[in-house]
This record gives sequence, structure tokens and C-alpha cells, in this order.
Amino acid sequence: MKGLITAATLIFFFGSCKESGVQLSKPSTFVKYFSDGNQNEAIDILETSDKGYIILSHSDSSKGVGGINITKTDLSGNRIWEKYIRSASGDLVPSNFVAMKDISGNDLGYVIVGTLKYPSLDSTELFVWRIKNEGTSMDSRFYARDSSSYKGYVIGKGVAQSGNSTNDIFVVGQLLKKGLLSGPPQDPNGNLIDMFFAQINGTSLDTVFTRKYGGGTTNLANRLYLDYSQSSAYWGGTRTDDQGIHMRFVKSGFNSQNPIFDLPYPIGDSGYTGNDFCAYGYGFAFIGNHTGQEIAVAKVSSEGNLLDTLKFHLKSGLPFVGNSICSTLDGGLLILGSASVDIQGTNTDYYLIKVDATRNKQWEIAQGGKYPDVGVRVLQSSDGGYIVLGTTTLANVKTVFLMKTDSRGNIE
Amino acid sequence: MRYSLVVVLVYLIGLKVAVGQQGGAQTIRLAQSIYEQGRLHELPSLPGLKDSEIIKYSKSNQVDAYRLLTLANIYLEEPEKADENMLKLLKTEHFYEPNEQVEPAEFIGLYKTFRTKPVFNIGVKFGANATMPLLTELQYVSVGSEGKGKYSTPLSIQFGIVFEKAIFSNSKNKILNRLTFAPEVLYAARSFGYTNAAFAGGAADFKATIKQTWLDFNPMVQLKLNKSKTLQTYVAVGPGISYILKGSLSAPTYSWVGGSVNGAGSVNGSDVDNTKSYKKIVPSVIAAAGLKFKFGAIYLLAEGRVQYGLTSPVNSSSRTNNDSVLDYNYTLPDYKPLTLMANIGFVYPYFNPIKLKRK
Repeated sequence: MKGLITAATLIFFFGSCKESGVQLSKPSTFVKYFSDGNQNEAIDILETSDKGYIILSHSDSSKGVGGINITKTDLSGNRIWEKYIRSASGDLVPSNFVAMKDISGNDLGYVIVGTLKYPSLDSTELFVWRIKNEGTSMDSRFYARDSSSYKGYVIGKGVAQSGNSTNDIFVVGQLLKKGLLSGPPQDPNGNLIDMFFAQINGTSLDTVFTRKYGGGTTNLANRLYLDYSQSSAYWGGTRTDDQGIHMRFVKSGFNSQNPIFDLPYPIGDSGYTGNDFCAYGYGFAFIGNHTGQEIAVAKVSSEGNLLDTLKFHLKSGLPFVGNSICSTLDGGLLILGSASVDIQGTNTDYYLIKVDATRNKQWEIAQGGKYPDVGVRVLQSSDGGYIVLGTTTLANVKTVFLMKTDSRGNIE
Repeated sequence: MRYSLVVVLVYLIGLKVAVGQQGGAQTIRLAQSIYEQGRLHELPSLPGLKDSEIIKYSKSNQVDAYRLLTLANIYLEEPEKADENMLKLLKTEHFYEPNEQVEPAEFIGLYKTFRTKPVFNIGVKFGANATMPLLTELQYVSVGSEGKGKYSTPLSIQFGIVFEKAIFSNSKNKILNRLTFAPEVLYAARSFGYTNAAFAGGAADFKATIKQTWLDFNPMVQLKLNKSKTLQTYVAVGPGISYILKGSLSAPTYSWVGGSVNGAGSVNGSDVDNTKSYKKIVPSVIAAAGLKFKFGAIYLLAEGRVQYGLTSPVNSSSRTNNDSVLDYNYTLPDYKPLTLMANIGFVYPYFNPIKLKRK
């Protein structure tokens, strides 16, 4: 009898500890890594109407046929579903997505913009792909496949959805000549044409108009905003021309011959990139770099006036890259950067800087392991915490990093 | 030369002891004979029964000498001297117990007027333990790995000191007078192994040993199951309070094993100190059973116990350790530790026999 009891005790002891069936935690702050085993790069993230998150990432297999990964999580980062979109003819590289909402604000689905790359042809197409809110594909369309007289190839960058009767979609992209690395094409007059702007019918996905603008060589941020009246659009990024490298801010009416403005920042100085921007107050806030060593932030009005600039550098003097920016509920800004930890650049950390409405730095915090951590997106969640999306290279494999912090940037 | 001196010295010491014992034995035999003949008044003045002579005898002969003197004092109605000799007897042999079938009732009665039990015991314990984390809530970092981890129970060690004191030794209650307060302080290492082959959706696996060292304070109470002074058995229960000394993620390894990425490697390195991820103090309850075996002036002990943590040792507000989470994608789960522990050791009983005051 004693032996039986002993055996039962030991079986209970060694068999009682297993993970299956154990309740998942619901932490208010967390760190999660997502990977499908290939090189995964984080692209974009949205807070969904159910207070969870949806992550857009790119999976690049060694076979060169990568595609889109879409992951839906609950508010604690627990995965609810994951979907993969692949194309047999090329690499689907997403850039940006927005939610399609009903009149109550619930997510009906999502519109993804990106680029289909044909490796063998050195050519690209901008694509729009719509998915339902449970991740299944609705429809898709490819645009501007070397059909213009300018022989330009389009890299899809930003997307926005209007609230008109057909819920039209607006997309912005950048133009490249065939070969993809040789800069923008030229129009018949010899002007550089580097930006693509189009309106797409939300019902049929037919093109309503396409416009191409230029002035230099661009590297656009993956964003597109419509103004409150939904009669014009804003986009931006980096512009390189004979005046140097500047942040670029563009406002354009719909189907207008020329943009309303196409401005470089700051005037009188050079070496600034624009990596991301966000709506801020009645205007926008850009984040980028100055000479690759410090983070630069520019606040601009909706009419293009430069209101303020901020710069942040590391005490170590090592490179400090501005990745993403978001406005916060208290009227401030949250800045996501990538801070070099070593001089070789083999170790970078995520770096958060909180600035209040009066441009004072409230706190800063670095989070990172011993490998490259590169910030991609930051946003404030509805509970006041902050969401950081990034790409961490773990033993030579890129994985998608998702972190939720409290309102001070801390993880429990 | 030195060797010869040592041999001679040992011989002389042995001879002295042997002569002392022999002499003592003859005296004791003579004294026993006188006692049995009823010539009790001759015993106190018998050559060889003076203190200065008795202390040269072997321990058993000293006990016999003081026993006979005590008996003589009892019957000669010399109570103070009887007390004096009984005290000497008890100081000579702490474990002395009169044979109740043989000894006169007066002698047994006198014995019972003295404190004959140890004032306290003090000793050391050491042994091994195996800890199993009973998961209460799953925490994970690498999405897809949740629910797929496996645990192992490597052995760890513990050692420490124990203090024991009978708390109601004079109580007439049969349960109370068998209770011993037995607080102990142990340095205890606890560990469990963790492996998960489903990191990165199955493309990577992870393994590490989660190690902690604790300072345990366990104010246990023992219940003796028998009254033997030679082989005591007991069960014990009590609370435990564990104070974290150090926690670490030992030998962590994150390896890409699947997928199709060229150059995919592994992450490993030195142990990760995650002490701050734990609560400073963790309460527990303990149940134990053991035995003590008299071996000379000490008791050897052996016991087994089960310890169950009442709360998770992981501090949810500081769970995340950057190195653990960001380099290895591992974070500690919420669990209640269940530890099986085996100890051996010894306790030294400290006796201080005195005449008990009459109540």
C-alpha cells in the first residue's frame, strides 16, 4: 500500500507540471516575438476595434518568394490568428495598411498597400490587397505595371481610405526606373518623376485617377493622410536633390496637376531624412535623422509651416536613428529610435523618448538585447500604454518584435 | 625515536584507562555486594566511591557508582545527598533511564524529580531536493511556443542548521508533551529545467535551467511518534518563509533548427541573473516525516519532506528580465513550487539536569 501511495505521489509530482491546458496570462505590458522561421521584417501595426492589435510583416524566404504575414493578437499580445498571403509570381512586400470601419467604428477589414517585386524582371507593381477582419482575403489589384509613358516602376508606400460613398482608397508610392536601383524616371521634359498618387474606387478597385509628381529623388515614409475635409492628401519622407538631403512634406489635391506644396525641411540646413510622420494637433510631426548621428523631429502645420524642431543624440556619440513617431493623448509626442550600443553597429536597442506638449523631454528608456533591434512603428494604445513594433535579428534571423509598455515605457 | 615515544605514550594511556576501569569494576562489584547485604551505611565511606576516584572510572561504572550511592542515600534518609548523587549520575550519563521493572519505586520517584530531557537540540541538515513548478498562469515571449514547454526536475542541494526544543515537555497532555518546536534555517538551491521546441513557430528551440538559491526559515513543529530515546520517529509540519538570494537562467540556449534561413545560428552565453524577477519573500507550507537514531552523544537524523509554495515566487511587476526576454525570448511563468526534499544530518542534544521545583 505504501509503495502504491509513493508511486502515485511520484507520478503526480513528475506528471503535474506541463504547459498544455494552463491558462494564458493577460498582462498589461508584454514582449512578444513572432516568426515563421524565415527572415521576418515588421512593417506596420494597428490597434483594432476590439482593443487588440494587428501586425503587418514581410516574410522573406531564402527561395526569394516572400510574402505578407498578418497576425492578429488580443490586447495582451496573445495570437488569435495568423494569415499568410503569397504570390507565385513574385515577392509581396507590404508597406502600410489601414482599417476599413463601419459607422460604429468597428473594423470590417483592412487595406494593405505594398509592392510586388519580380526578381527576374527587376520590375515592380503597386498592389492593394483587402482582407476581412478575420484575416481572409477579400480582393486585390495590381497597378502601374510599367504602363506609363515614363517607364516608371512603382513602390507602394502609403494608403488611406476616404469616407466617401464608395469608400475609395488613396495610395502613394515612389517611382523608380527599370532596374529599381537607378533612381526615378524622367518625364518627356527631362524632369525627375519620383512620386505616384492614385485614387482607387472602393467598390471595384478600379483606378479613379493616377498622378505622378517629381522634383528629386525620394524615399517616402509608409504613410498617407487625408485632410479633414477629405479633399487633399499628405505624404512625405526624404528628398534628395541639388540642395542636399531634407525631410519632405507634400500636400496634394485629388487629381490635381501639381501638388499644393512640396517642401523640404529645414531650410538652410541639410542632411535630414524623414523616416516617418504622424498627425499632431492640427499639423504633423516628422521624425528622421540628421547626418545619421542624431534624431531630428520637425513639427509642421497642415499648410507646411515649420513650427519647431527637436534633436536628440546619444551621450556616447554613437549613431542614433529615428524610426517612428506618434502623438500622445496628453498632447505630447513619443519617439521611437534605434540606438547603437557598440561602435561596430552590431548591437542596437529600441529607444523611446517621451516629449510633452511644450517640447520638454519627460523620460527616455532603452530596451534591447545583445543583437540588432530596429524600431519600426510606435503608437499609443487606448489604455495609455505604448506599443512598439520592431525587427530584432536573433542569431542572424530577423523576427518581429512587439512590445507593450506602460505609460512610462516600462515593462512589468 | 618520535614513533617510539608515541607508542609508549599510547600504551601508558591505555594502561591507565584499563587499570581505572578494572579498579572501578572491582569497587562497583564490592559496592553492589554491600548494597545487596543491606550494609548501606558502609557505602558512602567505601574506598573507591569518593568523587575524586569515581571520575577515573569508565562511564558505565561511574553511573553504577552514583546509582548505588543514590540508593544508599535514599534508604539512609539523606535526601539532599540523594539529590546530589542523582544529579551527578544524570550529568555523567545524559541518556540514563532507570529500569522501572527493577529499580525501587523511591529511586524512580527521585529520578522523576529531575529534568532528564535535553534542554534543546541543535544540529545540521543537508540533502537534495527536486522542485516541480505547478503552473498557474502561462507566460511566454515567443509566439507559438505557448503550451508546448516541457519541464524536468534536476536535483539541487540544501543545507542548514536546526534548533529543537520541547515546548510542553511537562504537560500531562499526551499530544502536547510530544511536541517540539523545531525552527531551522536552510540554504536551499532549487531548480527546474525547461525545454521548448516550438519557439519561432517550431523553427527554433530553447532550453535552460531555471535556478534559484533561497534562505529558508522554517518554524516547524515536530510530533514525536514514540518515546524511545534510541530511535525516535516524528512527523512535522509548519510554515516556511523563503528569502531569495539569487535567481538565474542557467545555460540558456536558443537555436534555430528549422526554417530556411541561411546562416541561422544559436544564441547562448553566460547565465542570466534574474534575481529581480522574483519576490523577495515567498511563503510555503511544509510537511515532513523523519527519524532520529542515537549515535553516541548525538542523534543522526533522516527525513523526507514536501514543501508547497503558497504564492508564485515570480514578481509580476518586475518579471521581465531584458537579457532573458530580449536575447532568449524566455520569461518566467507564474507557478507554485512543489519541492520534494530529503535530508540527513545530526542533532546534538544539550542536557542540563537540575532538580525540578515542586509545583
